[in-house]
Amino acid sequence: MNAATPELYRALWRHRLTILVMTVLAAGTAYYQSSQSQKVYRASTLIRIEQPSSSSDPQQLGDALGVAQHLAQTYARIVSTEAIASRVHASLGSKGAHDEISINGAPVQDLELMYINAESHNPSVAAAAANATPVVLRKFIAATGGVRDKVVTINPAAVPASPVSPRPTRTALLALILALIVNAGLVLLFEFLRDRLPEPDEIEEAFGKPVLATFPKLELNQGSVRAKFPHNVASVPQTHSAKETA
Amino acid sequence: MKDPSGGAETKGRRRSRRGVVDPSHPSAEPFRSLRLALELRDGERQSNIVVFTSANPGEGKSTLAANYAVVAAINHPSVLLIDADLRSPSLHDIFQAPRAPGLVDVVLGEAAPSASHRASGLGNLDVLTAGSRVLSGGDVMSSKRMRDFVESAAVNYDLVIMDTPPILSAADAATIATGVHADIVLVIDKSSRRRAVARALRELELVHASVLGIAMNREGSIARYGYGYAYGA
Repeated sequence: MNAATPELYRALWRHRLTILVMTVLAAGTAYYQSSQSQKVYRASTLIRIEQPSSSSDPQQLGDALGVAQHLAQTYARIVSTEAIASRVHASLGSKGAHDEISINGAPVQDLELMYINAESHNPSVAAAAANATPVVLRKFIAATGGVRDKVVTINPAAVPASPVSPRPTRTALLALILALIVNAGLVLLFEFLRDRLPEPDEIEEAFGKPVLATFPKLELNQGSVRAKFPHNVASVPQTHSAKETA
Repeated sequence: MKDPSGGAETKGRRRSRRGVVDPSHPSAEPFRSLRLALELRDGERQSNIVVFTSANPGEGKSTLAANYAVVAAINHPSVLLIDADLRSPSLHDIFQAPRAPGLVDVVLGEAAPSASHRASGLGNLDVLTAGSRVLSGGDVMSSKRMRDFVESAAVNYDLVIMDTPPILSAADAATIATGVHADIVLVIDKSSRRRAVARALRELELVHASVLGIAMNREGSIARYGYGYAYGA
């Protein structure tokens, strides 16, 4: 372990209160901001893309399934386009503004299934949009010549009870972790720039010299104990300079 | 060379608020701890010359040197405290003594030691103040006359304590300490910068000076030394 590591821990421990307060403050602010933002609801409809096949040959059936899986991916892309969104909005009439509805398709891997997700600030509008999209998609397929492909609704969307965003608790938790890391980094940077001495019990380790004594703020005597100057000593060492002077 | 502009006290210096501790007060206890630490040091290398210095000015080296001398003079037969910080002397302020004649005058042969060493009246402590102002304090400190003087003082006194300039301001402490094989106490306080202290120690290490250890000024509480003092009050 690096010799500086315990020192880093001590620096963090010294500033623990600052780190704690700043982190809680950041998490609290994130929670408040998140809880104040507009709620978004998501409703999902599960559909199946079918490729009609009259053959009972297992290989042909397998091929049809593979085609359907590819079609699910294609239709997922189509569902996410502005063209579908406009048509869905038109089919809903006055139920929700155009820019308040967001639609996308998500194919289920290795299956000929696809989720149609619709998001809106209004849960009823989200559910209505999710249920209107398969209808719009069928019309779109018919209009573009894919007459053999069938879109079957497996599970219609229900009105969502809770929003998908914001999630204040999750946001606050993420802010808490992020703020903890950032605040710890700031404290260490502050300590480095401040260039302060180590704690008394770390001095010997830091400088390789023992601490002989520590001196608190002294009460220096201004009155009763005072040197009795001036008077010279009776006899002094005979130094070289003195001898030279003599 | 002496400073032609000045005698002993040319400037209207602010009256020092510094002083010395009452040996019967808990404030003297840390100095007893330091005395013990110095007395218990490695016997083979023991020198009776102790040099107080610091990395930078204002860390309390003069105050600690003066007070250590006062406490050491209680049980040492003879102690000489020398103000060797010729650039910014302060012991004459602390002890409220004339600055000159003093060390410079004795070393330059312009004053007899008998006129310069002053008995403080505090135990067995004699004080040698900095003396007249000189332009080249560094030259005086590094002169052979200075080394000879300090060595002879070490012969005649049981303990010689020197207050020297900060390491990062002047090389005097390192010069005199290595010249007379003195032991060094490095004074630091809460305002000291870590890198400055490390640099000061590195400089002393480069000249192979004997650094005994560190004295931490303005650290802790005097309350921990208060045990038993109330009974005598």
